[in-house]
Amino acid sequence: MNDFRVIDIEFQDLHDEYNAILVCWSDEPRCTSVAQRVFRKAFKKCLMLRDCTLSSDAGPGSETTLRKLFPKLKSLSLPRDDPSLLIANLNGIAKADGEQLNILVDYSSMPRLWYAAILRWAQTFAGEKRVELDLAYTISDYISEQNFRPLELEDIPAIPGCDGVLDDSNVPILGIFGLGFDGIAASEVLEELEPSTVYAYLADPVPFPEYAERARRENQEILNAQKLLLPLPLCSIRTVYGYLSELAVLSKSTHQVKLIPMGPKPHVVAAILVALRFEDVACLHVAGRREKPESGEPTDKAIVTRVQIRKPSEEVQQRMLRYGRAVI
Amino acid sequence: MDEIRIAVISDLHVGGARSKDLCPYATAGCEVNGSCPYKTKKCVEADFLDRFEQFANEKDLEADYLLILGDATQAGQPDEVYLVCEVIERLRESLGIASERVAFIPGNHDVDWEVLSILDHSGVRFEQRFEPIAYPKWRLKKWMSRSKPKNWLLTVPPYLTVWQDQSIVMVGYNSAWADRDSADVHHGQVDEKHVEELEKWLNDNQKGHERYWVFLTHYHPIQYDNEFPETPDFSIMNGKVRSLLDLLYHKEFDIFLHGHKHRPFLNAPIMHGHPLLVLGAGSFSAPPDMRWDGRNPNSFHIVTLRGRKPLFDSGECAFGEVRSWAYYRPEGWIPSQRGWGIRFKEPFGTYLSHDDLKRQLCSTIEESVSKSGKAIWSSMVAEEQDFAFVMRDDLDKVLQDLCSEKGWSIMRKDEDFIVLPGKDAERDR
Amino acid sequence: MLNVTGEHSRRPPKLFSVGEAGRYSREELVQTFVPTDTYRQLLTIGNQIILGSRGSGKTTLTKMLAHEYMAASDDRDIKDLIAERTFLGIYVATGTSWVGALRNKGWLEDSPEAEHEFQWRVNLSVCFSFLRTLRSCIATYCPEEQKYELERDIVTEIREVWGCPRNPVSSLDDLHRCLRSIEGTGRSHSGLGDSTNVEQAKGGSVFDRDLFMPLLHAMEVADSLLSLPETPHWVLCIDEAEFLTTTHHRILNSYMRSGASKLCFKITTLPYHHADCETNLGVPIVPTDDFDYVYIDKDPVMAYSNKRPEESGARCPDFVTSMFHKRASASNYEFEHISLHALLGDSLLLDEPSGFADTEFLAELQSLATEKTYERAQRLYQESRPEYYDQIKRKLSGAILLKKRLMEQRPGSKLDIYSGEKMFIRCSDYSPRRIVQLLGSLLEAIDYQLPTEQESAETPFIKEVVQNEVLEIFSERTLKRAQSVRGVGPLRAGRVGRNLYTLLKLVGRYMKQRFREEKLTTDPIFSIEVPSNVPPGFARLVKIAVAYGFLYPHVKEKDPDPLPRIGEEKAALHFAYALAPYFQLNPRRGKGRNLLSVLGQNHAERLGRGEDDQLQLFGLEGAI
Repeated sequence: MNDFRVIDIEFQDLHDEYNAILVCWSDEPRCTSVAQRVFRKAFKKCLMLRDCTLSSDAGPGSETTLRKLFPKLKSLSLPRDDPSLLIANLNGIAKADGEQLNILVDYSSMPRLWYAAILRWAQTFAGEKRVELDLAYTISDYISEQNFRPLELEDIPAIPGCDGVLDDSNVPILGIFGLGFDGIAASEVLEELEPSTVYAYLADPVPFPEYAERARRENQEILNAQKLLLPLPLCSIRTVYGYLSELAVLSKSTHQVKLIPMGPKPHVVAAILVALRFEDVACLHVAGRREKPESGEPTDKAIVTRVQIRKPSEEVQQRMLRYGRAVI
Repeated sequence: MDEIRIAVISDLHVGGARSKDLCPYATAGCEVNGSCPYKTKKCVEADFLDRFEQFANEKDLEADYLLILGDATQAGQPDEVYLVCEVIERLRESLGIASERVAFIPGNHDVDWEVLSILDHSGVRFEQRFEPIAYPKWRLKKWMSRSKPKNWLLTVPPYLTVWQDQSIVMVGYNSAWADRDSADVHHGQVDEKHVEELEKWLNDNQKGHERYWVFLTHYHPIQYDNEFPETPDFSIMNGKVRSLLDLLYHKEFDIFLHGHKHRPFLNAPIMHGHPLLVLGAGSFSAPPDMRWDGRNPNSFHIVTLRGRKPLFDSGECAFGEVRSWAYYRPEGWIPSQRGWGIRFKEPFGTYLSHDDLKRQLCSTIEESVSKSGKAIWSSMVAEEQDFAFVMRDDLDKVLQDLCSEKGWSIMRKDEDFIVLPGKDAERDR
Repeated sequence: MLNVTGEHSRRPPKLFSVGEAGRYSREELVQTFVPTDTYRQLLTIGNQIILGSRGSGKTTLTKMLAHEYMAASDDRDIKDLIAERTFLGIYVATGTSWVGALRNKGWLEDSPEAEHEFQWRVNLSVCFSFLRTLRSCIATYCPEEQKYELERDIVTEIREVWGCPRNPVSSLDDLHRCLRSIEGTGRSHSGLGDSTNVEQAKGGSVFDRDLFMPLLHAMEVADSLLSLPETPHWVLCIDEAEFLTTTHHRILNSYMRSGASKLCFKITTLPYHHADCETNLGVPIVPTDDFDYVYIDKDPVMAYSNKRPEESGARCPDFVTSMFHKRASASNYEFEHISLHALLGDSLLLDEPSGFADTEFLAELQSLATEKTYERAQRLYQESRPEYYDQIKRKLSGAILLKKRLMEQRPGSKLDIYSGEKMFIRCSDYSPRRIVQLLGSLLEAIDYQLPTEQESAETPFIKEVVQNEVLEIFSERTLKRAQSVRGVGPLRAGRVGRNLYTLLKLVGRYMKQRFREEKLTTDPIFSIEVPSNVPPGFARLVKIAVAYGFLYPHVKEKDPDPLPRIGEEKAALHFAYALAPYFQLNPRRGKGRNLLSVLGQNHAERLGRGEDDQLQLFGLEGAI
């Protein structure tokens, strides 16, 4: 039972020193954007994560650039679905002195299971120190319909640590869908999960107004099924986190709440935070592959979010339980 | 005594609320074009007030008084104050409440932060901080001081005012009088002189208890559970809080209402042999804030005072119930739940010690079980009306103890429940 | 016209847009349920594995086997069973997230830890469901004045066997909370690889021991206190077993082989997703001995056939009509005077060709059919009119009409040929989900403005052109959905969607081209034959196509296992009729064309056009 404080900040609010920075090399051009803005700060450790299945020659976001920016850079090659090496490194970082850990994470190009694992680690670890994660995301250009390849669905597991409650066939499911452009995959998830109630949210307002219109267009089946459609801003994870939490908390005594974020990464982060915070809420990962991954040009807009995690003492947790912390 | 219903809201934060209809700055695209003065605020909704009106209409809700316990605005700006007046008008109309029965107490956000941010060593700007909410042409000023002793205004020392009619006396105190926008922590302040003034007035004017006595202020008087003791909650009232509370208890006030903490709260601490029902109203319309494990939805309450009844060996106390609703975007206003702060219906008025309540309940249940093999709560209440006004948490604790000791079983059905002798008892025999 | 919704609805009413049973409340499901012969076949004590493609109604059927649903039904047979206490169904679903959570533990699929975890989860899940059934039993069988005491007595006994604390557990709600608490303590901190705390937390719990043991103990308590009969009567209905792995199936199979006779199973899964019949006991389960397969997909051709109505498992067309009326009633539409036929009329392609004179027909046949077919038609016309009618005219009138319409179609003009009640039912493939979706689309096309009694006399109320458009959009959407299909359970392995979509498009286009270019015969182009020597990856793709209702096998009625063994024997399958409007085909079953020949021909053509990349993905070279 942790306290999450989610704060929207700007680049100028970042600290001058961090215990570590985590960047992710990929073939997306924006994978170096945050690094180029923050490389002058002091980082005790610099970790570059890379997907071990990607070719080293792919894309302009190259290791060379990152190594120039961070001479102490350590490279970690991981499979997309197994972050255990990453966790081991985070455990090493956590051994640093001090009561608080500050870590900067650029998740712009990071696979979902990795940044989910980082958040999960921070939550699990928070009992020993206060953990502050600064999460940065570079917004890339809008990808036109011609260049967009639909997601081929492979699996719909819960993100590890965000399993929610054991499926109880007798408790209706509330599916909260974050809408992106993969309407067909979303419809498939809707058919498989069979939620009795559907809520939906989408990024609006966004820097590209046509985004919201297209998300609506692509997700007609979800929109036909929903009882609530919330436009939530792209640039404020705090707002998204607040609204999703409210939906989850006020429903979870009567429903199995399942978050299905299929929209932009900042919204996915908000959904994961909700599921980590409320252990009876699940966050699902609509996993698949695209023939050609999305890769727009980076803009100068970024979303920076501070997540502070604290864990109350055992004694206080017992007292909080008196107020009826809800588990279905 | 008359039965009266008091609608209670707090912390609207107009200007920084969750919905565009509670924001004077809302324009098309304001979330992205930088025109919103509160950069961290992102309005997601636009029909909050409409939905409240629809809710009040559908449930046929009515009340006799409307109390707003501070932080009606986000930063005490004129545009926000103007809109607050419109909002309160709509709320009171939807509840069928006369304008003269509306009362407003300022909170820390209701001071003019723009004015306070102007560099000033003379103290003039500090004096000007209440000008928007006290603007004479706007109704908010009237709602701050409809009936009062001479010279008493919430915006000048002793920062007290009184609203009263034949049924009720409501004493309001502006505990935010010392707060500034630049403070690191916003905490209320109680000054000794203000308490003395209040005491004097009460000594002169409180003649018996034919009316209900209600105290309103913005800040909370007691420390709530703080999950992080290493960073204590400084936002309670500081100063002569103890003196104030002693006074209220000695003068047998019935209810203490406050806002500030966006978390609904209800309790009835007993001091000096008298219970004081404390209702923290939470926030009516601030954006969702997921501290405290979700126990802080937007809230609206109606306190129904049904009368006064004997208390202990001597004395009396008010009894009745508090009904609370939580705002849930998909469905609007829904009955609140215990896990969110306050139950939907919470009775108050019967204050027995744990042991006394246990003894009485045990005796009643045993008698009923011996006659009919079970004890039904609604029947018990019909026979002994005092049971109806036991606060639910107290009742639950006692029942749990009794079931544990006697091996009884409790079967719940909606708001009623049945107590049965346990099968264990039969088996053990 | 009646505007029954009172205003223009922007979204369709739930009962005419939501096809997934899991999204219905109990009341909605019971209100809209249409009991069929297949359903009544399931109301027996005995293990059954229920095979049906996606949307065929498996969840509805299994939920309607649960006591709480049956007790709410008005059907006489169901009420009798409930009164006799001889069929007490417990419904539990092992859905996608259920199984996903198992994978998140990070253990290898066949490891003892994984099996252990599965067993623990199954035990907990069935106990949750059992409480619901128990509540229904108490409400049904116990006099009102004794309900609370009985609940107390049952809970007191069950909490002992489940290891719940004495206090405060005294009601079914308390037991439910106790199970939640057991689940909570057993939840691991996985994802980071740490499972040791889990085992310590769960160790010693009764849910940790033998499969179904907690359920069996609880059943004994209920049997005794509810005075249930001696004969077996508990039925565990496990839904969505397609997500379970081979290992999970073997665990369940083992129980079916050797388990207590007190409990029988109804397990639903997709075709080809009952992994195998192996057990952990060295002896497999055997169809007809240990269980029966029940295949619930119905071919609307067979079901609607005038020739063999007794073979209809659904009393068609009553089933579809009943679905429509029940949903309309539950949606508060006033409709008694409205039939589907009044709304949709006859089908130009599928109904008896009343307006097609023989002379005209034969003339068209001469120009559009093969010489052999024409000669045969002429001969039969002379020798035996009934045979001429049944073997030639009935089969070819629609095809001729379709061909002519397609040939005459001007650019931009709209067809009206895919219309009529029979066409609508045919294109639904008799899948309840598709029926609901189609009903919803049709009603939406007329803005839910149903005809008055006078207006309904003008048949069809919904114009053919409108119906055609609805069916075409529905057909295209059905095809597009193939892109997001994935392999699950025993057929799980990587991406499937695009390959499946490509396969369907290639086959569909082939058929479309053949129909347009070739002369007609009485054998329509709508079926394929999969030879026995196809590569395993390809066979898997075909099985997935069957599971998701894109292809339908010609079943072996007399065989205990009705589905052809794709990849092991020659298998005939027809295209889903839902795809007919998109590819402009006549939806009639026919003899199958060899699939490899179909693709081979296509391959040649596509190679000629330089489009060989899709063939590689398609897997003929074993790339799947």
